Amino acid sequence: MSPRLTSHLRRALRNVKGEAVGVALSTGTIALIFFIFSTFLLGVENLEGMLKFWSKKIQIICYLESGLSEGEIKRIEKRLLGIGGIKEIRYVSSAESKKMLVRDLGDLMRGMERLEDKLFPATLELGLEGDASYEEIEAIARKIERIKGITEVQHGGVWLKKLTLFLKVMKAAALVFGAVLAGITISITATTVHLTFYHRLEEVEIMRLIGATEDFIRFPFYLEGGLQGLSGAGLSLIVLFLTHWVFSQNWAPQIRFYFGGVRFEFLSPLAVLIVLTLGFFSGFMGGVISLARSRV
Amino acid sequence: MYLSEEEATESIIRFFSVTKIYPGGIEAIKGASFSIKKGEFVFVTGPSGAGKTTLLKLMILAEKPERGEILVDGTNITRLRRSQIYRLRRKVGFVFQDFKLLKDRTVFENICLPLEVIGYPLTKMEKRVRRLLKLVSLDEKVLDLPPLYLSGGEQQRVAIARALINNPSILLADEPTGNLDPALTIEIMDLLVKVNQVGTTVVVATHDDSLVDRYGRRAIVLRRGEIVAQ
Repeated sequence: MSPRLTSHLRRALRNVKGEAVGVALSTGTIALIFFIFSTFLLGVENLEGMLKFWSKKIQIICYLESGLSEGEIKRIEKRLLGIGGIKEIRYVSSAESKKMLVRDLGDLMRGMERLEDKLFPATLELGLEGDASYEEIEAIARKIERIKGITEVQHGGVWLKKLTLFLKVMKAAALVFGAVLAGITISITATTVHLTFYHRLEEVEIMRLIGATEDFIRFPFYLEGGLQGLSGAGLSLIVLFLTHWVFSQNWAPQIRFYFGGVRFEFLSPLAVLIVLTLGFFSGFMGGVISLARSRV
Repeated sequence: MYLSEEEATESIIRFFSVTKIYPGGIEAIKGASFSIKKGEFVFVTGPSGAGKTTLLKLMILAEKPERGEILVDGTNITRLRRSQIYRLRRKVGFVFQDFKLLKDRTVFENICLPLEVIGYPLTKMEKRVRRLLKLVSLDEKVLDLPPLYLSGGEQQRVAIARALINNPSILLADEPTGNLDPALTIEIMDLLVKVNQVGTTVVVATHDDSLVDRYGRRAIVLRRGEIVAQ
């Protein structure tokens, strides 16, 4: 590290030490705000993961006309594979459809066992490649509808659409939230740095008299703001990590059951980097704004 | 403002009709003109409020004159931009009556401050500091102590060491013995004479006429902002 940077860092840490109570209070407040933001990000990331997880499991069900020959069904399957985006096709006969319905609905289907098999339409269940979006699923479904021998096409893309839209709103909200958060952090650190600066006025004056440049004098105060923001953001991540760990150990298995086995992950490395960077830069800006306002 | 070649090379500080007016119209310095030669030892004397501190502050642009021009080491400092003042101050050491040492730093860190601001490597500082300690007659044991652990005389020696660490061509001392007893006053003054003997121009502001008499050096005498003798 260059002597100048070492000096800046030492002076910034000395400032923090000299204003321990004020810095602890502001760091704690920043940590609290960042904890809320990080939790929000965690929700957004897990929702996105959930969406990917579920979209992999999405199926398109094609209801077939009754009385189709084996050759005609083979022809439909061939045309389906020609559409693209379809990974696998499973034929479910009328008898099998009835059996599955009776098994899945249990008591509700009591007495229906005696109904004729042909009342239950045969279907083709299509598994899709990768994690298809709602638009892709819709496009495939529209092409399938045009195939002769298929009476109806159903898929779970509607909820996927709603969830995707919800995710978009959440992401936009995260951006707004992030901006508001940065503003609050700037304001908090600006106040603390202002206080430190005034307590160090004599030192600043001595520095000026011995030939320090304004940048040299001011940079440690900017750094002090940055360190406060970074510490607050880091602290919030530690608390969030512990909270997530406790949640994963105690409640996640039960909740996973209701969400179809989806895993609840901690923040991605990118999100962690974003939180820390946002913390540092908003704190640093707080320092810059504070000294720009001080005019000393 | 024309200087003869001899004047230009010999003078390290020159004031030309310098006037400093504080807010409220108080004229702290009135049309001061004088010059100080390279390697000279000069007293600035006068009673309290005569303008001694202001005169010294003008030499490092801690105050800006309303009128007149000031040359320091060949540079007209009154024309310096705010962003250039630091260059001037790196050439001039300043010693204050109240020492102005940083309480939360060790003696070593205080002495090294002028080197720290120019990004001088820490490893090379030690050698320089130890050499200076000998000059100011301080024990190496004090290096790791905070300044408040030292006596007034020792603190002023630390302040002088700090002012000399980057080999300034000029040393300005504003009432450097104002807070010291008579014995320490002589010790510090002798030290400043020693500094002058190695080639540094020394300007000492003092209200103590006995010092001027004792050391028999040139004195610029101020009365209510005017130079009455030099």
